[in-house]
Amino acid sequence: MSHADLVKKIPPDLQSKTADGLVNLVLNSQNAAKLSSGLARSLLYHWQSDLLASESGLTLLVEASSQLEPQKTSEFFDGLGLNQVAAALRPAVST
Amino acid sequence: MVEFGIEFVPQHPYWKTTFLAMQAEKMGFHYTWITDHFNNRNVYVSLSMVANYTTKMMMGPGVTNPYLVHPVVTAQAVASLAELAPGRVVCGLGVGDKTTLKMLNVDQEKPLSAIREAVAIIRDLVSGKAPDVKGDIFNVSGAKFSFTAPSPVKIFIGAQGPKMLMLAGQIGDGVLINASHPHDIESAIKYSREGSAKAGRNFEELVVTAYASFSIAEDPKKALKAVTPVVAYIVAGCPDSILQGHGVPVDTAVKIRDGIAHGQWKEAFGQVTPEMIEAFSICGTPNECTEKISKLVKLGVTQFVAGSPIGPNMHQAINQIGQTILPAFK
Repeated sequence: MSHADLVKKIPPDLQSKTADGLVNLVLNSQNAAKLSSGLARSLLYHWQSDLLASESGLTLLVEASSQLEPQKTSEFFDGLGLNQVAAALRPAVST
Repeated sequence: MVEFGIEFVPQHPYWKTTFLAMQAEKMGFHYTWITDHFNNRNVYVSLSMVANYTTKMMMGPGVTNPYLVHPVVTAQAVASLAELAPGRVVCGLGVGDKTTLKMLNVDQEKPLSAIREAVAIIRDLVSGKAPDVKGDIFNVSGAKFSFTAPSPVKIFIGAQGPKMLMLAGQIGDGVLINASHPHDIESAIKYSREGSAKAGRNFEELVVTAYASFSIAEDPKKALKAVTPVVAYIVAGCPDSILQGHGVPVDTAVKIRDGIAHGQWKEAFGQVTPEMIEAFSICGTPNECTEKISKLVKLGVTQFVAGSPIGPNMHQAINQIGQTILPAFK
């Protein structure tokens, strides 16, 4: 499932809370330097335009947080009770 | 009305500094100051990003120094930045951080002359004139830019010792007082006022800025933990007279300085005492921080800069300052 499809599963009343939580994950990530320049620019544009809680903004945030903090992102969605989203983002366990 | 600034240390990726600066603007901060240390990301690249993504905030290096960056280059950088953000650029200038300069074996030679001459050079070049400075440190005569900054750039002088504070009062558009304790701020204002009077200037026109190490959190222990490394750096670079004024033994400061210089962080930070935290930072819950800033404002501070680390979680700290502290001073 694409990130955009996952975002469609976030109920409207949780969009703002989701954006806040993901922003926190992304900003506090120890892997912040790994964020691609293109994705960083798109995030900055959305933040500038107050669009981070929109569908396109959330898609970027999910992409960024699952890139920088895959485990924490999955746990975050579990905490919101969005188990299907969490499961789709859960990092694969290497054997 | 007191204005609020925020300091960023560009040790984080550029997008993070830009994101947080935008957040600060949205929360009502008036100034973004970005530090200039050779070992972090470049200050003007960072400021260019902030200029592009903000619309109202003032911004500038806070502070750059004339030992590593020649004032001609600083003038060129701030004048160019002023094209990106007309009317929003300021320039913070100081003698630099002793610990960082030591890593490059650079001496802070004749600091008063260096700042006085650098201010003259920057001011002339930015305003389209050719400086004529034949000083102790710099010799710049007849050089001129091929472009003109679209707006003036105010120069703030970073100062801690009495002579530099007086110089800031004499020639600065603002003074960045590197202190947070009311006792230090009060005496700093006294010296700057003296300098201003000596130069026949109206002191009230000077932007009196308390540039303080700051850490805010609902849990005071977390705020304390975040500020400790920064206080270690401050103590390491502090003039002996100021250390002694707060009862901090100079030999402890030397131990901290040596620890930092040799990368022995645990040993260096372990020397930091509660008294040092109290003397060299504003740290605590939102209410405690508001109360401490209030004391500085009563002494005559017209801008308060929340300096590094801001808090254990910068994103949350900026929100806390915007929601609880800024409204208390409107």
